[in-house]
Amino acid sequence: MHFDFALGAAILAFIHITLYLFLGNKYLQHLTNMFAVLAFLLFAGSIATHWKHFGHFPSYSMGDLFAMVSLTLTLIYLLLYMKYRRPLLGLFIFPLVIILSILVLVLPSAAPKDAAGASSIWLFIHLPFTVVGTAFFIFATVASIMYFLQERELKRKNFGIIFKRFPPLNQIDRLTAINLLCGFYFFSVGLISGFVWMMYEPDRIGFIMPKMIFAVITWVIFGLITYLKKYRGMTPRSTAYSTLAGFISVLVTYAGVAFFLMG
Amino acid sequence: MQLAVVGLNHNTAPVEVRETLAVAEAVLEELYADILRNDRIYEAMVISTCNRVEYYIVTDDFLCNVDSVLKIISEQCRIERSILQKYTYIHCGENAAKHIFRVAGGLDSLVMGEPQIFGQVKDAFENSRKYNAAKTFIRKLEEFVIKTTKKVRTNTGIGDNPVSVSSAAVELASKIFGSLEDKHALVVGAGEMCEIACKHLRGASIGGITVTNRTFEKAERLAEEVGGSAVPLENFREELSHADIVLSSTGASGYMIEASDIKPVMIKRKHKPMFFIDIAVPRDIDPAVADIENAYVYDIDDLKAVVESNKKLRQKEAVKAMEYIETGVADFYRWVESMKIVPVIKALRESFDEKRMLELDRFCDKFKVSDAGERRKLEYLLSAFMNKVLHTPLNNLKDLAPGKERYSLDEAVKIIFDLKD
Repeated sequence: MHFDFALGAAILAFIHITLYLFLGNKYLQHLTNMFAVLAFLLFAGSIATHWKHFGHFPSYSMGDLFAMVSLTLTLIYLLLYMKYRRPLLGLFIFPLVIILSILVLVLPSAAPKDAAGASSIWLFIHLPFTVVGTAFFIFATVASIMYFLQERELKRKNFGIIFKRFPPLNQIDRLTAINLLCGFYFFSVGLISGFVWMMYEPDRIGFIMPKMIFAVITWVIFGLITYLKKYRGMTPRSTAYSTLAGFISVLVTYAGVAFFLMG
Repeated sequence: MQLAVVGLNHNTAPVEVRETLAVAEAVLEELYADILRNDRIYEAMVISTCNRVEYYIVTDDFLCNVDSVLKIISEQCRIERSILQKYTYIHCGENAAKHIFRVAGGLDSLVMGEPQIFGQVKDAFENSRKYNAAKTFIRKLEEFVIKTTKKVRTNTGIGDNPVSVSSAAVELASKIFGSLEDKHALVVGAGEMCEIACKHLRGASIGGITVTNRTFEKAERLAEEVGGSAVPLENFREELSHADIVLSSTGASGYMIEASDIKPVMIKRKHKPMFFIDIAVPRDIDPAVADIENAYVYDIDDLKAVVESNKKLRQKEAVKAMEYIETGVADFYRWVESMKIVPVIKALRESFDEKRMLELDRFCDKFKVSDAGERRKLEYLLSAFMNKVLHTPLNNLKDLAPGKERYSLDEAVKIIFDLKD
């Protein structure tokens, strides 16, 4: 029930941020954030209810994972808004939250039979850190898309809605860099704890499973971008392209999770 | 009492006339005294800016008293009445009020939506108060004008989009860099356009400005004026790698900056964005620079296009602003109407006071109350009772006064005394 309402709040947040894009009214911005807070609380409530109902942390199905990603995306949107006051990130994030939430409702959420066994402490480190890292990578990708759009407007000398409402190029670039850095930190911790967990439970997940391979590829791509961006002065456009490539890798990794469910 | 305005502005009078009629702050006191010497002018307010001179008066016979204002202006400025009448406009009543609301909102300005006029109008109201020319009417008008103008500026985009070439360039720079506080500008040329642009950049709190010019002394002078530094023209390419914004306006016949100059600069800058503003004709910056990644080149035509598009946007916003102004004027006139009941309320209260004292005297005589303390207590009781009884009807009378509705006698009594059916 909570989740239906959370989805509703996310839809309302998306509607209001879209209206803000076209109308530029600040009240719409405030309403967007209000619905985002509501969505966050309802997502958290839904996960807590699920946890209480099944007696274990909801981390065994694709639906559980998507619910966590939705919650994390909404939370990071709010944190980034508080720090940078850039509500238009929501224009790209809320549709993703909506799609993920619909998938949560559609996908089965039953725990596997051996669920009780998969409650290692390492799972509780691996899962949140990986999810938060992924969410930051998604935000970096969104910022990259915004960079392309704003840069195109400036180069083509179009002074339309995007030019007026999107943040300045430098700020978008800074947002990308911060999201990459945070994403890389969280994803690294998540990946390392995942490996440790695997060592404790080698029967459950193998090192050469596709999702593991793609998780490592994702980590390498984002690690490389973060390094080049911070120390080698990678151009914003190249950063944006590389981040998009990294995002594809994230999608493939999650597809891996979808096939093999665990982790 | 009516509000009337006699004035002229950039639309009705040429600059020669406007400058003759401009009112210096030093003569304001005398001017207000002259205006208020007319017994039928109760309040006044004078606005004098480079684009307008306006005299607002509160009077009960505006035709006759506007004439007296025109006489004062004519005498003070030594300008013939016939010439004065040719350039001035006169509004009275709601039109005069609407005019001051439009002026304060920047809707009547040469550059639509410019914000300075609001400050100038506030100063004018302040001066009017300072020289005792503002009483209830002008003070309330000030309150409504300020409240409405704040709404106009907050809720509409009337002042959002820059409408001068230099400010449009600064807006574009902000769209690339966000804050300009840690950015550096290189200005090639030291002419008037460069000077204006430098001032706009300073206004946007730019981190630093370097000026270069064929005549080095001119570059030094401009640099000093805007708190920057100067470099000789021969060395300006060395400065390019430190410059986030390059503004060029020289009389050179060829390109001052070529794409081949910028490619190595970009590598040196680790591909940080560069914004080139070319306001020279013929152009100073090779258009091929725009093909380089993270280099954004805008010439004078691009900036003019920005300005034109912004002007159209402001026109659209002016329609929204007018809605706020109409509401503000209506609210103000509701207050004006409510003031008409004030003499009635005053008379009613005086009549009650008189009766209260009469009854008190009669009571004291009849019951032989001679003690002053006892009498004070009775007086207090009667006064409190009277205030209690009058409070509701007097308030309701004030609320009813501005309305246009007509009530039957029984309806009016019920409303005034707050009686239930």
